[in-house]
Amino acid sequence: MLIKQILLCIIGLCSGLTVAAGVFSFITMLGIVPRLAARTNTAKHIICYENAIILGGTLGNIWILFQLPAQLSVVMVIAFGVFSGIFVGCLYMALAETLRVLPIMVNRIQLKEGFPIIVAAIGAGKLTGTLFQYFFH
Amino acid sequence: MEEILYVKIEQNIPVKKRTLTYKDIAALYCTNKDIVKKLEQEIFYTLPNDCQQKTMFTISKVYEGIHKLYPSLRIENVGERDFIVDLEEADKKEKPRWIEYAKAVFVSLIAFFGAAFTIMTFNEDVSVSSVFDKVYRMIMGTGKQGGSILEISYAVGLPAGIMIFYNHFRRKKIKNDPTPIQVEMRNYEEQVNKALISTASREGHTIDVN
Repeated sequence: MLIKQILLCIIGLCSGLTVAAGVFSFITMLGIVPRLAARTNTAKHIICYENAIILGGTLGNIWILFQLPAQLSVVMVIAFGVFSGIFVGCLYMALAETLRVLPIMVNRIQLKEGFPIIVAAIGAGKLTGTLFQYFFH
Repeated sequence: MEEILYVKIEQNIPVKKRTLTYKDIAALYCTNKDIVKKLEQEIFYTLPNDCQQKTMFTISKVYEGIHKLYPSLRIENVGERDFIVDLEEADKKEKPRWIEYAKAVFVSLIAFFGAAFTIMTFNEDVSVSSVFDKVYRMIMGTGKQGGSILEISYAVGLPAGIMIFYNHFRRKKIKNDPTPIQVEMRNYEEQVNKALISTASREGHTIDVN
């Protein structure tokens, strides 16, 4: 019985380690946090951002895993929505950038002006899509 | 023996004043110390008053200036071929510190909730809990209720994995070992510099020999 418990423990630990390496190297390689740090000129607080990632990953994981009931105020819900929304927005643009979607498109149609319009259009499209999916489905 | 002047220039040079001497922009080395001493005092370029914050130069401009003083000196470039002079206005008012902290808190919040969101979507996406149910049943022979040792150790292993990935254990020993995010930060800065240099050269804003 104890051996089985130890086996379970080892499986859990190892899958945690592996998942962490995979998921968080994905976040890191997309370079969202460096980009945000560069935009806000706060490169020297990177250690603090890493701690925030560690804390967020840990708590989020525990929360969803054990289905903990957390009676939080509406402020917390809004904060979660807003900040994870910003993060996902950065994530998907970083993904599109890594896949070189825009540079190739722009090159193919030989576009020279109007990059801000394209970026604004992407933002508007994402907003419309999200609203449509959640409210008019 | 022929004297060689070695010039090393960084890609991005932050400066505080408009009059740039060779000492401000480059590291010079020559067996003849007098040449280095004299050159370090000489003015390389004076940024015009209406210039933008970043000015792009090519190394030939530096060669031209040095050759004006020492026409037959052989120069070896051991640094960058194109470089950016980044003018930080000295008279510009320092922003209050709390703004910087507010920005740091803002980014930390994005990082915190973003990481939480990502791991939660991942767990749901790949149905970690149903996998754990199956693993538990295979090993223990019975189904489980609620969180078992499996989930607890997973919850312990995950932060350990992140900390190993971000070098948070080793950095206490090796102070200068950068974390992956710091490496990414440098990569990003380098890419921005490269983009600035090639845009400037394409649009003809680079300061080059005429």
